[in-house]
Amino acid sequence: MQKADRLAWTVARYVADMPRGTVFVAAPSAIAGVRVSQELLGCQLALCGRGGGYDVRGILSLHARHWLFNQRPRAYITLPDVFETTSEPHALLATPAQVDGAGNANLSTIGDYRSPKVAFGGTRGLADARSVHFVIPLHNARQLVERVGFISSSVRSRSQPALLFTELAVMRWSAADSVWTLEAAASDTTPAEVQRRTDFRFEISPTLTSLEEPTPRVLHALDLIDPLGVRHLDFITDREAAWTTMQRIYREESVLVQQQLSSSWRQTQ
Amino acid sequence: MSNTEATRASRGPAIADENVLLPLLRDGMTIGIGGFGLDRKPMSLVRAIAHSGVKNLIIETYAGGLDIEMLVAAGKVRRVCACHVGLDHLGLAPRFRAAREAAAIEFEEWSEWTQLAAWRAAAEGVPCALTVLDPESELLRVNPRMKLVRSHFTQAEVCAVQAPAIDLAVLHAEAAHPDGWAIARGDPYLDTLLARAARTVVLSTERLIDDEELERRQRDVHLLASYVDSVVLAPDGARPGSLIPAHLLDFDRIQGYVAASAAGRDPAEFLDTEALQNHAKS
Repeated sequence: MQKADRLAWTVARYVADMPRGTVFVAAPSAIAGVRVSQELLGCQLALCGRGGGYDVRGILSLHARHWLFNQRPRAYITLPDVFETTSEPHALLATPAQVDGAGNANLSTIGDYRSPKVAFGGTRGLADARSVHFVIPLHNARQLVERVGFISSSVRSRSQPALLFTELAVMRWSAADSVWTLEAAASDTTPAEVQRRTDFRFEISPTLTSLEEPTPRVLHALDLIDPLGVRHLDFITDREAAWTTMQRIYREESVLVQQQLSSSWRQTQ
Repeated sequence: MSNTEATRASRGPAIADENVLLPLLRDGMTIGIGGFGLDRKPMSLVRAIAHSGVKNLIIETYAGGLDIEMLVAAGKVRRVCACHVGLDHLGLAPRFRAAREAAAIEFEEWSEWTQLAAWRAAAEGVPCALTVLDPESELLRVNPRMKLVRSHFTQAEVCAVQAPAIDLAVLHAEAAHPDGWAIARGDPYLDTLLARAARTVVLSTERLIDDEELERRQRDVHLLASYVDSVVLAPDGARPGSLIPAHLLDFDRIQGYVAASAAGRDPAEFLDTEALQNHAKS
């Protein structure tokens, strides 16, 4: 089983139950999850993103994400208008650099803020969304830390319980106990293995379940949604291999852009 | 008439080249850069700034990319004000990251909504705006231009943000009329707000359009002529970044820049050889 497919299907099943509203998703495998949830499970979240597409239904893209991805939006709105849509129930499926056991997430720095040991790109919209969930595609203790280096945002200030998705597990934030609780794990792992790959302590739900593996029907849908395989980039850890894959996707996308999408843009003129 | 309106009325738009920027540049000034991430950045204008003798710039941009890389590499930047700086799927911005970690530049970090609110306040000519922000966020600790306050009406806690004073905005458009009307088939991002917020606006454009095309495409106009002080004809002015939907980014060139940076080699040739070499000599 491909890790990206498993994570996409896990996200799909959870977002299917989320209330109608808008969602912004960072990780390609999670975007694939929302899309497959729309197609197969009746998910009522409308995907929004930079480039202004609202409820986009196109295929996943990499280099022209906000364009190719928007080839079939239900509405075309500009970036400022995307922000206006967040006044309705809105969720963010973020992929921070770090998530910790206190429910904090970091996209900023590690170490002294003015002279950091590690500088990331910046907090972006992490501190803005009404409800926030985290997607760390490859479960690892380097990102799932005891304490983040900087609090870009926290799940503690949100009323809706946050979820933490990885390819191995799903955890849910318990506001009452201020702790992450493992509520589902992959069938080929154990809670002990999940703990070994997590730098913070978590609780284990008494009703712990196994993650459902995607069926052939789901896999077929994922291939239709993401024919270029953008979602698999979340799991390529070797830099050279990632660039080779990106280059292949970019070239294939360029052909698609020339052949298909420019015509749809011409129609808008 | 506000200062901004007076400035525009006295100058008016004009066709120029990148050198129109030079008399506008002052050490320590605040420059706003349009576009978003790697898309529709006014790279030819940014190159002109990198080549100039100006220094200690404060850069306001919504999501920085190669623009910030080039200016940091040229040693022009004192402070970056942004919600994010990066190279999208190609990872972190190496020059920005190294400068941050060496404390060679300051980073005034925003969230997306708070920076949008601050720019909107600047565009509307008010000193501050109210918006929402996670009260747990340490942005409130490190960014002196945002703070939690109580609403006069309900006593609810809200985030107040200070409007920036932007001296000059540099923007890029897919097409523009010589009078300054600008067209973007792709997302205009926050360029309209930035143009309204800045005292002076220089717009580069891929090509010029005439009255007939302007009237035919009036619904694509995102910048009014009255916002723009100078129009610079700059074909391929956003490269090596993208100009969606006109062209995608130059993947090989940007990948080469990232690879050279990661390998510790001089990545100048991938961005702007001349500007970076000049900086290295100084």
